[in-house]
Formats: sequence, structure tokens, C-alpha cells
Amino acid sequence: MPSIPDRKNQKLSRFDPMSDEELRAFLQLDASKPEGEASDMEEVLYVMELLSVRRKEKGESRDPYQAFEEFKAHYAPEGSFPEIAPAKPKIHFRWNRVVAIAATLALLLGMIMTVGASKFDFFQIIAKWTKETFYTGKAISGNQMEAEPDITSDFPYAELQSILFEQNVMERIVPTWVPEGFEQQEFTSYELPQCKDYHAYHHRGEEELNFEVKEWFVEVPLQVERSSSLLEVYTLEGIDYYIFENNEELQVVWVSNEFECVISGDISLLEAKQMIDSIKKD
Amino acid sequence: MKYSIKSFFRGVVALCLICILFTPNVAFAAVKPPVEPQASDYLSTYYGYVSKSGNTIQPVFGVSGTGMMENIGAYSIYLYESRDGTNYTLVKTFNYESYSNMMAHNTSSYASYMSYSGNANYTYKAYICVFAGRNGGGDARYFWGYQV
Amino acid sequence: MNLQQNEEIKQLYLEMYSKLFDYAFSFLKNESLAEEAVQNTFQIACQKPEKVCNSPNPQGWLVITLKNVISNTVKSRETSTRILTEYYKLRVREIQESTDPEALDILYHDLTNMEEYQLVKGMAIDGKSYLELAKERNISVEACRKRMQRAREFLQGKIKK
Repeated sequence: MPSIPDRKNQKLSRFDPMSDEELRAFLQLDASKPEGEASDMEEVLYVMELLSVRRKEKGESRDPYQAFEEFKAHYAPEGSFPEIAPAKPKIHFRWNRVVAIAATLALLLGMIMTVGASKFDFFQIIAKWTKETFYTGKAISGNQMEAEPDITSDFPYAELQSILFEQNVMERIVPTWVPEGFEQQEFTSYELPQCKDYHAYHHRGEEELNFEVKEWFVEVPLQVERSSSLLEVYTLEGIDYYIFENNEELQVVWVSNEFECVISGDISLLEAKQMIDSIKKD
Repeated sequence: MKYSIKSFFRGVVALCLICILFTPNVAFAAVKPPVEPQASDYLSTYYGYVSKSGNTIQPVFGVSGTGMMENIGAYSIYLYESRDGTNYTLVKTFNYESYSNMMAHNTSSYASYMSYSGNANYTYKAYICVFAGRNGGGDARYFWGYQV
Repeated sequence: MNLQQNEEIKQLYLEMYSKLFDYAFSFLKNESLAEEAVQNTFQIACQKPEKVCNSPNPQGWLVITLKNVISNTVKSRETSTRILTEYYKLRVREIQESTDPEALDILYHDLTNMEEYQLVKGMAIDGKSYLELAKERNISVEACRKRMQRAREFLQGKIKK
């Protein structure tokens, strides 16, 4: 009795006599299929297997072990496929832990003894340090000055005002009001040759508000991006505040003695003027 | 990725304000008439100049973004030197790939300066490229920073 | 990934690497890019081990994932090519219109030596993989990807709409 032909084998065996180029053309066609158009995975895997066998026969196959080493070195997520390292003696690990704990305790004890003699509460100092770190934002070594924020102030730019007061700057250039909802996220300061640069960043959801102050010791032009001619010159107590648009944001630029200031962000013209008004108000 | 490409590259916009004071010890910012308005979704303000202290030449730059930027700073600084104040020669190129203090990440502004060992008797200027970018888009500006 | 998933993915890798390479090469016609596509496919497998290990046909899952990786590779290169072409035209126009003679030197210098241009050109025109570009610069593949993103941002920022 003749055997019934295996339909699956017949479907796949049509690939057997094809050349390598024809097989690759088949794979290329499959790879070109648009998203959503399903592949006949059985056929694809069969053709891939066929090519792989032929490569091995010709001695042209790629070394999967070498490729795997390369994969581990350059692509595998960190920590995956870990090498099994010999276990360290437990006693050394304990020593490390003991030393770490002892060092921490000694440091804490030293700090408590030091501040115990002062009038400041130890935990208040930690809170102040934490807030200072938060307020000063990113540490950029070499150029950034340390700010001492006035943590009792509710003013939006308290740190900057505090720095200026410490430098005996009596100039009133810092707004004391920002539109409701804006919260400070970053304050950075840069000490540069011939210039000090301060920058505070607030945000309210996706809306952003920037306030910059540059203290110049030389004459340097500041480039200001803007998409329109001057919108308005708002004058207050002898200072001209130039208001522009920068695409959908507002830019306010003014100079007060050696200070060049910019307010920019997602605020309305009215809010910009309110911020300006708040500079001179007690 | 969201792209927002709105930039005009005909040149550099220079807009400064003049405030003249007659106090000897106080410096002031200079105003120059605007050349051509340029807008940006990424850059707010920027500046650059060259400071000289003896033989140490320091190109300085500062950039403010319109908000928090993934990358902000100077892409490249070309430092030029002149013996006669008229003819300049390129003496040093700084690029952010080689100098880690040229570019900052995830912040709204950045300023820094480079150092070059030059000659106290020469004049210097720098061609500076500042950049700010986030969410797959960004803006760059080239401008001259002069010796102060 | 737990140890069992680790082992399963490793075995899949050794079994399927060459076959997936052939698949990728048939379309990309570039060994480096094909290699990278396969590596990226297994990188995705490592990020979603439960999907590949629990799949009724893990080999088929890998092929489908590879298809998507190839598609993204092609789109990324096309975007890079477009950015590079537009940027090149822009620079040439700037050079022709510039009245600052010293700026001409810089613009030419930029076009030939600028890292951003060279990086994007390496992908778009020279057909190099992230791994090749990373090795040239002695950085990790991940660092190279980030530099590529910045480079494309930079060049896009320079293109006039």
C-alpha cells in the first residue's frame, strides 16, 4: 500500500532544492512584510535551519559561543549571566560589616559631641544640610558656589536673595512672588572669571519658569532668544523691563547696575508684570 | 520620540541692554541693536567671552534652557589668537567629547570655562557653539565671544 | 531573570544565533548590522524573559522580535540619512552665504571633523553598527547610543525648517 504523502514535509521540502540566494530571498521577503502581516513561522524556521546546516557543511558557520561572549560583554543587561565566583570566607564579610558599623557610629558620635557643645540641635543641622543639598541642585565641581538658603523664608528665590545679601548687594532684583502652583526644582550658581551666574528653575506640571541673574564685572553681551519684536517695555521705578516672546514663552530682560536679569517661561504678560512688581515690594 | 524643529540659522542674534552708570567701580551690561530675531524651544539665553589672566586664557560660556534639558552646554569652542589684533589663528579646539565640563545633563542651565596656556601680549577670541536639547530635539547656536 | 530563565535564554542563543543572523543578513545585507540586530533581539529577550520562556514557540518569538528590530534599524538609518543630507545642504548654503572669512574655516572644519557629523555619517552612510562605532571611540555600546541621540539632536537643531 503506497504511503500517504506527508503534507507538511511536502510544503517544507520545496525549499530543499533552492539555492542559498533563493532561500535568503525568501527570508528577505518575510522580513519586508509590513507590521501586522503574519509570517508562516514554520517555513521561516525551516529555511533558517536549512541555511544553517549548509553553512556548517561549508565550514562557514558563525561561532555562537564567541558571539555569546560578545553579547555578554556589550549587550546583556548588567547582572545577567553572572560568572560563578568562589564564595568569600564569611569571617571577612563579617569584619567588613563590623568595621562599617563601627565607623558610622564613630562618625555619629563625633558629630553629636561636636554639636552638643553648640546651641544648635543635632537634628536641625541634618535638616538644614538636607535642604541645602536639595536647594543647590546639581553639584558641578570647581565652578559652583555653595548657597546658604534661608530655610525660614517663604519667598520663591530666597536662596538667591540670601547670597546677594551676604555679598552686601542691596540691589532689589529678585522677585518675591511667582504665579501660584510653581514650585522650585533647582537652584544653581556658577562662579566664572569676571562673572557670577545664578539660575533658579520652577515648574508647575509641564509648565516651566526660569529666573536668571548674571553679575557682570566686564561688558559682555547676553544673547536672548525671541520670536517677536519687543512686546512691551514695562517701566518701574526707573528700570525698563523689556518683554518679548520666545515662541510660546515669555522673556523679560532688564539690567540693574551690574546685574542682568531674565525671567522666562510659561507665564502670561500679567503674571510677568506681577513678578516684576514684586521685586520692589517689601 | 517627539521632535520640535524650529530654528533659523542665518546668523547670531545679539540683543543686550545698555544701562550706563557713572560709578567707577561698577561694570555694566552693553546693549547692541538686535540683528534678527531668532526663537527657540530649547535655548533661552546664552553668552560667551574670553577672559585673560596673565598667560592663562579662559574661554567662558553660559547657557540657559527654556526648561530642564537632557543635554545643555557647549558643543565646541574654537579659540583664536592674534599678535596684531587683526589677523587671527586657530590655536585650540575644545569639544564636549574630550572635556567633561562642557556639557551638563538633566538641568536647566549650565556655565563653565576652559583654560589655555597662551600669551599675555596676544589678543584672543572664541567661536562658541552652545546647545540645549531634550526629547529627541535640540537647538544650537554659533557665535563669537570676545576678549574682555 | 532567574537562573532557569538565564539558562533557557543562553541555550536559545546558542541554538538560534546563526539562524537569526542569516535572517537579518538577508534583509540588511550588512554583517555588522545583522550581528547587531541579533544581539539586540536577545537583549530584548533578556529584558522580557517571561515572554520568551513561556512562549509556545520561543524560536518564533525571537524571529518576530528580530523582524521588529530590523524594522527599527532601517527606520533609524533612514532618519539619520535624512538628517545628514539636510544638514550637509544647510552647511553648504551657510558657507556660500557667509561673509565672515574666519567662519568659513570653521564651517569646513566642522563638516570634515565634527564628531556629531562623523557619528551619524558612520551609521547612515558607512553602515556601521553601534558596536563598531563604540569600539572606534573606545566607549560602551550604550554610551554610543546616547552619543548618537545627542548627535542627531544637535544636527536636527541646526536644520532649517
